[in-house]
Amino acid sequence: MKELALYAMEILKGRGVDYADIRITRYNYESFIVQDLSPKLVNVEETYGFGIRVLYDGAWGFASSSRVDKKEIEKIAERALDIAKSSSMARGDFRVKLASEPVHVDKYLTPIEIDPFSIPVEEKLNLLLKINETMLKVKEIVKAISRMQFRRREQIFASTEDSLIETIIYTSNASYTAFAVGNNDTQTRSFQDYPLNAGYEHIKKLGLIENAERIAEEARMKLYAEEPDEEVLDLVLDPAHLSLTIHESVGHPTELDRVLGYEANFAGRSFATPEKLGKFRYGSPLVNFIADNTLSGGLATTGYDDEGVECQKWYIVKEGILVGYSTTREVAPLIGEVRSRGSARADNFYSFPINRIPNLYLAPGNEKATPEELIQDVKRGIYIEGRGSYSIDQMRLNFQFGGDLFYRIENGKKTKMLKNVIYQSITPEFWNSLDGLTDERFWEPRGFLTCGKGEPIQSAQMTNGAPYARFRKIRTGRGRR
Amino acid sequence: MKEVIAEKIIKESSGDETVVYFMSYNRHYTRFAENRITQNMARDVTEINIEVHFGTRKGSAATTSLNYEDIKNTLKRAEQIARHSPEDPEYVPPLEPVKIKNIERFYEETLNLTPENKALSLRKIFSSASRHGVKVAGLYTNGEREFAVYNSRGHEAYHKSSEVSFSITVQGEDSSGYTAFFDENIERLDLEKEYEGAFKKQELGKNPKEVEPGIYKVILEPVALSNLLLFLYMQMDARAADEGRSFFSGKIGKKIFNELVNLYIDPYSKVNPAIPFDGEGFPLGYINLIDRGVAKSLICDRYWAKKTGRKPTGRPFFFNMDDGQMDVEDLIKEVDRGILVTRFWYIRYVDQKSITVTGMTRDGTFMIEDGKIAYGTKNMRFNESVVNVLKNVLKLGKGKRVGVEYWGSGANYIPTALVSEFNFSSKTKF
Ligand SMILES: [Zn+2]
Repeated sequence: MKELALYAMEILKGRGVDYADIRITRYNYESFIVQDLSPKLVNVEETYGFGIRVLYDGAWGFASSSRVDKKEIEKIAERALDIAKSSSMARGDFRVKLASEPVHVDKYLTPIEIDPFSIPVEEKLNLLLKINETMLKVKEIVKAISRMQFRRREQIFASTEDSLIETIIYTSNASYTAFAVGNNDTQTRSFQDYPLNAGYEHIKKLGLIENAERIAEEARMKLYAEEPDEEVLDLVLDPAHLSLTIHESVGHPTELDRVLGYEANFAGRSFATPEKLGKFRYGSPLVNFIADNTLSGGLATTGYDDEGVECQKWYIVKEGILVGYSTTREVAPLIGEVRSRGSARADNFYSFPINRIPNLYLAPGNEKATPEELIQDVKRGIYIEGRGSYSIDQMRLNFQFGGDLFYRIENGKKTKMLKNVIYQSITPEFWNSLDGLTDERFWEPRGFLTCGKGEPIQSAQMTNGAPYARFRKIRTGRGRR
Repeated sequence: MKEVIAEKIIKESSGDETVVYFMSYNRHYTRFAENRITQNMARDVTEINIEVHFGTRKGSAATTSLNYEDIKNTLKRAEQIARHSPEDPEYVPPLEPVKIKNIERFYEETLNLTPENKALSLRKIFSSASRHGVKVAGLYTNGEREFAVYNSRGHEAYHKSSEVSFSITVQGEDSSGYTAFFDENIERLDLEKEYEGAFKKQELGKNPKEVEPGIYKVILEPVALSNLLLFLYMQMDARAADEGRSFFSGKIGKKIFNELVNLYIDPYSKVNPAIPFDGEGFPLGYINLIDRGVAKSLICDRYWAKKTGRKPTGRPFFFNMDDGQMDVEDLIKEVDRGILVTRFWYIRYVDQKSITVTGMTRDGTFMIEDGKIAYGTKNMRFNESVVNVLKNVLKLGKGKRVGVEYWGSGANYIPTALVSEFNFSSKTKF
C-alpha cells in the first residue's frame, strides 16, 4: 500500500504540479440500532479506496477510486491533473499557495484498551436490548431506541513534499432515547451521544444499563412538567448541552474558510472576520476557548490532519478575546499565518479535505466551584441538561437552543421540572453574559460524529468539551406554537 | 453486470434469504466561491450491501470494492453477523417478485458535460460578477446514479438516472440572492438565467432595513416552502401516529389544512418524475396524503401494515404539492403588507407533536408594501408550526422542482404559497 502511495507521488512529481497528495483509506464501521425489542440495523461496512489531490497552476483537481492498484493509480492521477487544469481556467488572478509544513514520516495510532471490533455482535446487541427492555417497563413509555457505533480508519497519506504518514484511528459511541406518551403530550429523554476516539472500554464506562430506568422515568416526568412563559432569566447549562452551543456559536464561526467566503452558498459565512483578531470581545474575561487536536480521546485527535499537518493546540478565544481560527494550508496564508492549524479533514477517500472544527473546548474555571454553587447564586433561572432543538443563522449570530431536561431555579435551588424550554441570543452577547464556571472536576469531553459541512456535504467528527457554566439575563420562552 | 453479481451472491449465500443492494454514483462536482473554482472533483463509487436472513435473524455487510473476492468476503461477514443477531420480533421476509414500470430519467447529454465545459461557462459568470463588484459561490454537479435491489425470492428493482444540479449565491456588500436548479436533462439548465435571478435578488435587497419581529403575511417561494414541508412529511408515519407520537395521531379523515392543499406521492407524475421504488425495492404508486386539506393516508411500512391490517405504501422520499397558476409577481400584487422569503436556513424541530419548527431566513428576504417589493429586510428567525402554515394558505402560485439530496437523486415539486400569518420571533444583524 505504501509503495502505491509513493508511486502516485512519483508520477505527479514528473508532471509539473505545484503540489499533490494521496490518501489511501480503509474505513470499517459497525452500526447497531435496536427499536423496542427489534434489531432494526445490524450492519458492518467497509469502504476502501484512494483519493488524489493535485494543485496545478494554482488550482485544485481531485479524483478517487475504489480499485487500489497501480494501473488505476496512474489513471486517477491523470484525471485529477486534468481536472486541476480545467479549474485553473476559472481561477481569475487567484493562485492557491500552501502554508509550509515540515516533512513528516510518522505513524499514529489511537491508544485503545479493547478493540471494539473484537467484542461479539451478540454482546453489543444484547446490551441494547436490555436497555430497551428496562425503559419499556416504565409506565407511559411507548418506544425505546438504542444505538451503538464503532469506526476504525486506517490511512496512508503521502505528498509530493515527501511526507508519509500512517494512522489508525478508533471511535466508539453509544446512546439511547425513551419516548413517553400521556397527559395529552409526547416527550423524549435521551442518554445522549458520548463519542470518543477510544476502544470498547469507553462503552463499558458509560453506565448505559445503570441509567436506563432514570432516563425513562425522566421522559415520563416531562409529560407532566410545566411549560415556561417568555421571560429574561439566568441559565445554568451542563457540559452536554454546552458542547452544542460551543460547536455552533464558536466552532463554526472560527473556521477560516467560511470566514473567507468559501462556504457562502451552503454552510454560510461568519461574523468573526479577520480584522477582529486580537481585538474583538467574544466573551467575558472568564471565557477561554482552546482548540486541541492532541486532546486525549478527542474525536479530531488523529496525529495529523488529511493534508499531513501535525495536530496542534492553540487558543481560539483567550480571556474573552478572539485570537485564533481553525485553518488549512490553503486558507492560513490568506490572513498572513505561516502555518496551518491542521484542520483539513475529508470524510472518506472520495472526499476533498475541507476546513473543519478541531477539538474545541471551553476551559474550566480556575477557582473551585460545583454546579450547585453556580445555581446557588441564581435568584430566578433555568437549569438545562443535554441537547435539544438547535438553530443558528448563517453568519453565526442569532441562535436558538432547546435542551433535553429543564428545571426551574428559584432562590438558589433547583425546583420544578419544566418542558419545551427554548432560549435565544446573539453569539457575542451570550458569551459576554457568562459569569460562572465549574472547575475541571466537572469538565466533560462531549462531541459530535456527524457535523455536516461542504458541498457535496461531508460529515466530520470533533470533541467540544465544557464545564457547567452560568449565563445572566437570557431571553427564554416556550417552544410550542 | 450487477444482476450477474447479485445472482452469484444469492446462490452462494447460506442464508434462508438474501438481498443484494447496489448504489452507484458517478458524478462530477464543480464547487466555486469568491468568483473562482475552489474544489473540482470526480467521484465514482459503488456500494454493495448484502443482507442475509436466518429465520428471523438478520444482518448486513457493505463494501465499496467491485472485486468479486471482496464481495464474497462481504457476504461471509453478513452471514456471520446475521447468525449472531437476536431474533427480530418484527421480521418481514423479502419482497415477492413484482414488476415495476420503468420511468425514463436518463439523458446521455447530461453526462457529456466535461469539467472544462463547466469551467468555461462558470468563468463567464465569474467575470460578470467581478465587473459588478459581487461574489458568487455555488455548486454545479452533473452525473448519474444507479440503484438496484435483487433478492432470493426473485424480486428485482433497477433504476438509473442522470442529474444536473446548480445552485448559486450572489453576495453583495450587504445583501445576497440565491437560486437553485435540478433536472435530469442538462439541456433544461440556463446557467445565465439562474445567475441573473440570484443577482437580481441581491440588487433588490441592497441597504436592507431592520424589521420588527411579529406575525406577518408571507410569500414563501418553492425552496422555502419545500424546506418547511420536509418536517411535515417526516411526521407522516402511520406507526408514529398509531403510537400517539405524531401530530397525525387521530387525524386521518379530518380536515386539517386549507382546501388548496393537496399533497401526494407520484413517481410517474409529469411535473416531477422520480425513482419508482423505495430503499427495499418496493414499488411506489400514487399515494394521496392530503386531499383538499383533508388527511387521507400516511406512510406505512410492511411490518406495521401487516400488524394493523393496512396496505403497505413503501417509503418514498419525494413528494409533490399541487400548485396554482399565478406567478410570484401576481402574488406580490395581492399583498398589502408582508414578507417574501426566498430560502430558509437551519430549520429544526422545536416541538414534533405540533410540528413547530424554528429557522432563519436567508439570501433574499423582502418587505412587500401595497402590492410591490418595497425594500430588502435584514434576516429574521421564525418559530412556527408547519400545520399553521398550511392552514393559513391564501393562494398558491406556480411551482417548481426543488432538488432533495437523499438516498435517491430527485426533487419535490412545490408551489409558491401566500400565507396569511407567519411568526417571526427575533432578528439578527445582517
Ligand atoms: Zn457542525
